[in-house]
This record gives sequence, structure tokens and C-alpha cells, in this order.
Amino acid sequence: MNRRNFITLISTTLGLGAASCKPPDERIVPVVEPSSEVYPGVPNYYTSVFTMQNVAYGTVIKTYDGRPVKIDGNELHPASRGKSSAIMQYQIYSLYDSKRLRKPHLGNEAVKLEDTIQTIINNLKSAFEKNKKVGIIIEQHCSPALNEFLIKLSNDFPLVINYVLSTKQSQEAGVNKLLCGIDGEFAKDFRNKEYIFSLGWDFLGEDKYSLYNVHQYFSLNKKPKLFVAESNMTVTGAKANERLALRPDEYESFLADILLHILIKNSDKEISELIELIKPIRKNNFAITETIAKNLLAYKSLILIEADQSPIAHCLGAILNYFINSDKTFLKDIKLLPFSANHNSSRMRLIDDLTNHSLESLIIINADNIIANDKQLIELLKKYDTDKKISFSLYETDFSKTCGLSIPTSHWLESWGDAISIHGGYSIQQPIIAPINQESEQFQDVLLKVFQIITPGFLKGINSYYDFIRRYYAPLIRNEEEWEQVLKDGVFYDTDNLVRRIGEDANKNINMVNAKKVLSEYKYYGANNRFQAIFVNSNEINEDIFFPNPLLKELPGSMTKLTWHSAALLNPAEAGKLGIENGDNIKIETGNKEIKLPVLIIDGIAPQTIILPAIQRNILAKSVQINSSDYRTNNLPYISVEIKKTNNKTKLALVQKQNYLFESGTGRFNSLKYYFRTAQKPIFNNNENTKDNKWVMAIDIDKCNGCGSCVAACQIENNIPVVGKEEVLNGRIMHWLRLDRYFLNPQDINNPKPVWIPVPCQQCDNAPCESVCPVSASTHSPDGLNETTYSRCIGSRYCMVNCPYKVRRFNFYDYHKGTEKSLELMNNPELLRRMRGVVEKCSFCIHRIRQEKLKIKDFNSNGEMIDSFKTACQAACPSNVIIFGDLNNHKTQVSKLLSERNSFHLLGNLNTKPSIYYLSELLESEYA
Amino acid sequence: MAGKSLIFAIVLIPAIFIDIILIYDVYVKNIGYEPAQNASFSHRQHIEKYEIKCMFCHFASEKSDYAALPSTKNCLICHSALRNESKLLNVVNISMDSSIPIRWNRIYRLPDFVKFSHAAHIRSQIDCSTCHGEVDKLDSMRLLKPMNMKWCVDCHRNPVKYIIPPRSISGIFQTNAEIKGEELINTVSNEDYFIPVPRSAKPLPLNCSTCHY
Repeated sequence: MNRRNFITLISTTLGLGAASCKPPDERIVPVVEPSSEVYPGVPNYYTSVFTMQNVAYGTVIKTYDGRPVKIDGNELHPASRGKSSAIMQYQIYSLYDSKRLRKPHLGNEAVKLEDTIQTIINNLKSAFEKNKKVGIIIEQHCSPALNEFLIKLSNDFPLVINYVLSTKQSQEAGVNKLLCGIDGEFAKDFRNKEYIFSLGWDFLGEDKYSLYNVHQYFSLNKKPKLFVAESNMTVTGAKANERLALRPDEYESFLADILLHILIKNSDKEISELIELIKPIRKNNFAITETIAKNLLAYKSLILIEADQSPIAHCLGAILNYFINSDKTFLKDIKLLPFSANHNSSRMRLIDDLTNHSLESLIIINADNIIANDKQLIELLKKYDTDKKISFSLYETDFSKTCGLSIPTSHWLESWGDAISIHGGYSIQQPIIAPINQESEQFQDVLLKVFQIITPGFLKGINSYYDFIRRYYAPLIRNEEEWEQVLKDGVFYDTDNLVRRIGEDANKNINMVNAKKVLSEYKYYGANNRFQAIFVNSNEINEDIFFPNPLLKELPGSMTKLTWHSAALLNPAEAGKLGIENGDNIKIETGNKEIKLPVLIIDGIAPQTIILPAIQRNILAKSVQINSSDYRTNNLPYISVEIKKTNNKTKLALVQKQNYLFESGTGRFNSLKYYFRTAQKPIFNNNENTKDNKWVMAIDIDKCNGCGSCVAACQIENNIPVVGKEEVLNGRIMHWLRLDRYFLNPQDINNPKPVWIPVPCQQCDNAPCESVCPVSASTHSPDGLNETTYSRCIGSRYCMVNCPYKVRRFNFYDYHKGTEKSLELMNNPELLRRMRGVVEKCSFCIHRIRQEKLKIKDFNSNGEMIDSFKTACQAACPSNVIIFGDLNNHKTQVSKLLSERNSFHLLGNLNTKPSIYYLSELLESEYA
Repeated sequence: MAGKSLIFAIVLIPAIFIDIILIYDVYVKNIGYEPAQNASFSHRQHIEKYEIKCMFCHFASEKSDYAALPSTKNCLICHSALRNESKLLNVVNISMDSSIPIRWNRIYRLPDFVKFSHAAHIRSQIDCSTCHGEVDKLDSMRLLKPMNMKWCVDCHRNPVKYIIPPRSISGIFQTNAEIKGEELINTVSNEDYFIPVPRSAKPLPLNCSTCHY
């Protein structure tokens, strides 16, 4: 008897003792009436559109048996182009979230949806009888039909007033209105540009258009030279050819300095007046501005100013843009972004009406978040009579609790809608699933019902919001077939401007009188010797738009690598001066208020600058801990603060603690010189002996901007659990794909050069994990994959110890256990949900490979798999960093790429022969 | 030394003994698992007598991992006209009227850590009876094969020994033509099904991630 048989016998004995060896009885329940669309076990795909304020991204939603499991970008849509962001990926959570508002509440009492309609009608009728106004407060949106609906409403009912609110007040739109008469932001076009100067605008990172920007920027054949001046260390700064760490109160001064360099030669009388106005704005001279001015004039340039900056900065930027254009036209050929008008006037009107008490009734639609971030509004609304407030929202929030009537709305995956995107592509938002919560309905339908009962003639012939959309687009979509096609494509265009013109060309000339008026209002608010604080929306915090989403909370910030909570960011030099270490709690005093936060030290943050989270909320949205609107004054992006160290320390939930590479380096970032010196042979594996596929992945770290959408897509695709802050602190985060961030030049404060390296399982051919597994749960497949067989794994974790890349994750607990039933619907049925006590890791999306192998078994197939499918991370990546394919086939993109470009393996000296090829980054400053 | 072998014997002898029972249980006893069904349905009647193809009712097997059971409506395609007064059809009629699906007891059952694709096997032209036995001879459905890993792997190691080429009764199409409902019964002759396609010379996959992921 050998060891193997012995173990077999012992285990069978134990197995017999534990259970009576009979499979449990199971049922099969077929449907009564089959659907022509749904096959059991075969996914269906539907298009829809995801909107975030006034940005629309077309989506394709994968469903199994009618339930959505994954959201991806729509390849035909001009803004998403098949790519998706982490926020988009994680939207699936909020659909199934059991914490959503379940039932309408009248006071504290749960009522039925039908009863609420009567309450609203009574409320409105009494207002109309008294001849008093009814306010509808709604979040900024990009739906032309909804816009039309609200306009119709206030036309037919003159007492109904609409207020549109937005989270971030764009100063740019306001300035544009003054200078060229157009209220809105302009779309930024990076094509045919040679030099881009960005003042603090993180257009590749935190910007709401970033998914679109990233795709547009990284798919340029010839990348423009990028200069970034900023206070925070942002993704855009990381990708810049040159970067300057600038104090936030120096932005205007910096712009004025550049502008003076350009204008000084001009002797025109009008311009000399302008120079006199600009001179006081320049506080100090910068060494670099002369070169920037020279570059701006020499190349086709683009100037980008952060939307949050002061009107002065935007005005200076607009003037600068005007003067560097050779033909002296103000932003020629540039289109307006749809629905990007400045909503400040709308907010001011609301505040006036609230203080005058001229509003008898208020209907607040999905605007809880904006109100929660607006100190002035929330104070005014608190004083308002509870019975007069009707709120429509997805979740129960602090604000919705103060409303007399709160009604659940349906999720965007459950409702009809429409949206217009950057380049004028219209999309229809179609419900993918019937409302999960039966007591919810989309607010448009409720409003339609209410107003139709009050005035039966209102929108005659329209029974639902769906009808309204059909009628609105009737000039464009003429028949049922076209409608089907539109739903299938997910995008359609209005080439003849039948519905509404969306963008107008800007005025040719700049209004100098208004520009001078803006500039003459300049006042310096900073203080030279004090710390300046700015508030930013960081990755971890962005989710407040969509309410607590644990998946988004656990996604590490792209620069900070921090999960679950936020921190105040300082640079190492300043922290050293104050004697502060990572995790020390500090008190940030401003005026008579103070903020307590732990410190996280990050390279590249400007001197005397501290970065604070714009808003910090605790997990269950019970209370807001930090709200930038409490502290900000004068509509400025920065405030002066005093920093004091306290004796407390906080454990930071960081997923990466090593910020710098060692001399030998795990990654290779070569300059062009190095590239020529060591002209390595391309490592094209000309292995034609095997007929099997050889799956490899090429990762172009040059393009990676650390956005984390790959991590998010992987998590949703592979049913990866959220572990919670405690477990992250224990180092047990489960993400299969790790996104490492290193600073290459730690000494350089202006340009520390952060790089990101996505590290999935390396699928080594000489895999160290395979040789140590005592139960052969880790094996090698003929197509070059490291398989993990969860049902064999006994959790010895030898493989984790032996893996040099540390990509294997161990299930310390049944993390899925205890999740609500509704959240289980979110799981991908294509693969197993791992149990406690097993090791798991990236599988190269093996279920997708298997499905594709099944497709080539089809009799119509030619039997080849040439880039016919993508891994989840590859599909999501906005900048095409990840390319996956078969190395044994010459026609695939990955084999072509690897034969052309230099690549390296992580820890290649260990001879693990990984299947992941990292394309070497060329530091671009060496080009010039 | 003596103590060691005593412990060894104490552990091992019951182990061997119980193992024999277990092997019997899994390999012999479990075959023939025949739970009572809510609807008395005879495969033999439908297949042998009326020559209805497997694919007609198990409609998803060519496209999906799952073979799928027919919907109530599917039964009524024929039975709304044929023998619709039979008491045996009460279950179907009640289900149709009340929109409550018929619940069947599962016989061919795989644990959830095993991924098995019907489509992969049928597209490789493996007859249903290779894995399900001669269902066409059964009046009441029961388990005819052991459904354990050894059984799967045996066939993957030595397919020639086990694989049955497609029989006309299975309705495995060699063409990808969509043949539906009545067409399937009436128009397609037996010869249409049997177009031999050379099976690839590649050995069948045996690596773990073929089934476990």
C-alpha cells in the first residue's frame, strides 16, 4: 500500500462518517412559456446608456436568464468605445443592493405606491389653489427627452418651476458666457495638437470625461508634448513630459506670467490696457514660463484649466488661448459639450425662492447627494415644512428622511431614458430588467400620472414615459424596425438636426470688455507662509455620487493605493519638516473649524500644500464626516490652513507600502538611449511545434494610467468578494489583478514620475507554484495556463509562499457568506464562487477561453481563434494597455506586437518563463 | 513497532471495509437512482414509438451548457391535439392554466464545481446515449451511468472504447440549420442527421481546467 491509496482510504472513511453518500435531491424547474430570446445558460446582450451628470457612456449589458451580470462599454458609442470605468462596472452592485429604499414612506409609515400618487396630487392641488409655486429640483442630466418633459411641464403648469443642480460648479461655463456668449463647456479635442498645457486639470484621471479623454489621448499616433502644472499629484501629471508642482494659490500668477511673456511684445493700445490689469496678478516670476510661452506660440497648442479654478484663471486661460491662435479666433471649430451650462443661476434662484418662502411644495428628484454637499441649501431645506417635501431617490438618505414623502425610484437598469453624448450620439436607455423592487417606478412615470390626473389634457395620448420618448424621437426613428435597430446599436445620430441642435460654433472674437471686467475683480486670497489646502475628489470618494458602494470603496486609489477611507496628502519634504509620518493623525485648522485626518505621504505634491478629500462619508451614509462646502469660502478652490500634529496614529488601509523600486528593479523603464545601446532581440516565441494555443498577454505600461477599471472588471467578472477594511489591514485583499504604483524619481519634487504596473497571475511556464502543491491543485494546462482546481485545494498556501509575484489570494473566510440574497444575483454563473480555505488567482478568464473553444466546434466556424474574444480586463481598459491573444498564431495582435516591440518579464532572472510580456516604457522626455 | 502496526491495523481495516461499501454505493447502488416524478413521463413511448428526437424537447443542448427541460408549452405543441383527454396529462394542463411550472426531480446531477457543456459534446457528435445510456428503452427515467470523475476521465482517455456515434434518434444535426418544431418531426428524414464529420485527431482534453474553474 502506498501513500496515495492510504490517503484515499482514510478520506473515504471520514467521508462516509460525515454523510450518507447520497447526492441531495434537486429539482429542475423549466418555464411554462418559453421566451424566444432566453436560452438557459446562454447570455444575452442588450445596449443601454449609463449617465453620470451630463456625461453619457453607451453600455452593453450581459444578462443570464434575464438578470444583468456585467456592464461593459458599447463599441459603437462615441464616448465609451467599448471601454468602461470602474464606476460603470460597479453599477451592477447598486442594482441588486438590498439597502435600496424598498417602499414609499409617508412620514415613518410605509405606504403603497398608488397611495403616494394621491398624496402628491393633494399636495400640488393645494399649491395651485393658493396660486403658489411648486419646485422640481433635479440633478444635472444629459437627457434631451427629460429636458423636454420638464419644459412641457412648466409650460403647461406655469407654477411648476424647474431647478437643475450640479455637484461641481463649473466656472468655465460662466466665463465662456461672458467672453463669447455661450453658456457651457467646450469639448477638448487632442487631435492634431503638438503641445498641451494643463493647469491642474486631471483630464486623464478624475475628470468625469476621463474615460473618453483617456481613450482619445492614448490612441493618438503622435502624442503631443504635455506640460502639467498642478498642486496634487495626479494621473495627468504622471503622464506629463514635464511637470511643475505648483502651490494652489499660484495658479493665477503662473498663468499671468505666461500671458505677459506673450503679450509684452505687443504695442497695441488695447493690449497694453490688458497688460496693466494682468500685472498685479503676477505675484512672482517663474523660471519655466518663458519656455512655455515660446512653446505655446511655436506649436499647435491647447490650454486646459481645471474646471474648479477661479473665474480669473479661466478668463486668463481664454485670453491665452485667443492670443496663441495664429488666426486669432476664439476656439474655432470647437463644439459645446451637451448640457454643460453653469447651473449656478438655477441654484441662486432656488435659494432666493426658499428664503422668500414662495415655494408651496418641493419635488426633489435624485438630488440628495448634491443637496448633502451644499451647506447653504441643506440649511434652508431643513427649515422647510416636512409635508411639503417629496423626494424621489434610490436610497434612503439623511435628506430623504427629512422629507414628508419619500418614494423609491427605479435604477437606471430598470427604467426608460435617453442621453446625448459628447459628439452628438444619442442613446436610448432601455430597461434590462423589470423593477426588482415592485414598489418602485421611474419618477417620470409617477410625475406623468400625477399631472395627467390634475389636468387630464396634459400630454394626451401618452400613457408612459416610454411613449413620451418614442414621440420625442419620432422625427428620427420613424418605424418599429428603426427603433429595433436603434436599441440594437445603442447609438444613433441626428445628422439633419431634426430633434435639436446640440452645439453651436463659438463666437470668433473674444469679448475683451467683459474679460477686463473679470480681471479687474482680482483679489489674492492666499497667504505666503501658510499651508494651502485643496479639496479633491479622489478615486475612493467618487462613489458618493452613487452612494456607498463597498466595491468602489475597496478599489485602491490610483495614486494613493488607499482603500476604504481617505487621508490628507503631503509630500515627503513637508512631512519631514513637520515631523509627521505615514498614518499620523493631524489637525487641520481653518478659521474656527478643524478637520482631523491621518496623513499619507505621496511624492510630487506641491510644497506647502495639503490635499484633502472633498467629502468623506461613513460606509452606511449615516453621516458626512468631511464636507468641503463647510470650509470653502470665496468660491476659491483652495483655503489657507494651519497644520498641527496629534499623538494619535491611524492604521492606513494601504494595499501597497513599497513606493520605490530597488536598484535592480522589478520593472524596466528605459530611456531611448538605453534602448539603442542594448538593442535586445524581440522575444517572439516561434514555437510552432505545438498545435495548441499559447495564451499570452502583453501589457503596455507606457499607456497605463492606473484608473483601475481592469481591477473592477475582473472583480465583477470573476465573482471576487469584498473583504472589508479590517481584512485589507490584514493584507487579505482579494483582487486578482493588482495595480502597482511606483515612483521612479523620488528625489524630484516636480516630476517624481509615477508608473503603474498591472500584475495579474503571470501564468509561468516554469511555475514555482505548481511544483510545491501537495495535492496537485495547481497544474499546467496544454495551452500554457496555470490552473487552480478549487475542489482539490486544501489550503496549504505553499503556492502563495513560492509565488515570486504574490498574485495568489487565499480565502480566509467565506466572504460571500452572509451577503443578501439579492446580491447573489450579481454573480457570474460562468464560473465558481470560491469557498473558504482555498487559494485563488487570475485564470486568464478561462471561462471565456472555454466558451470560445466551444464556438470553434460549431460547424460554420473555420476553427481559428484570432482575437475573437477579450479577457475582462482587456475589454474594460480605456487605453488599450492589455492585449491578450494566442502567441502561436501569427495573425493575432499580440504576436505581431511582441515581434515588433521590446518586452521584459517581471523578475525574468528567476526563469519562471511567464506568459505576461511587459512592453518596455520609453521615458518620453528623452525624445526632445 | 508493534504498537505502530496495531494503530495502522485499527485505522486501516475499518477503512478497507467501509471503502468496499462505499464503492458499492457509488458505483452500483447509485446507478438506477429513480426518484418518483410529479408527471409520469415515458421516454420509451416518445422515442421508440413516435420517434421524437432528443433535441426536440432538450432544445438547448446544442447551444448551451445545459440541455434544458421542455417548457409546459413545449409539451402542448403536440398534446393540445394528441391524447389531450388522458389523465396523465393533467399535470401539464394544470401547469399551463396556473402558470406554475412542473417540478422535476433531478437525476443526472453534477456538483457545482464541475463545468460540463452539453454543447461541446454534441458539437463533437457524441451521441446522447454515450453518457445517458439507452434512455429510449426506459419507461421511467433513472440513472444509468455512475456520473463520477473516473467515468468522465476514462472516456476522455480512451474515447474509442466508449463513444457511440450519433444515432438518428438523438437529432444531433451535422448542419447548423435551425429546424424547429413540426419541421423536425415531419420534414427531416433520418438520413439528414447522419453526415460523418472527421473527428479531430487531437487527444481529448484531460487537464483540470477543462472542467474545473
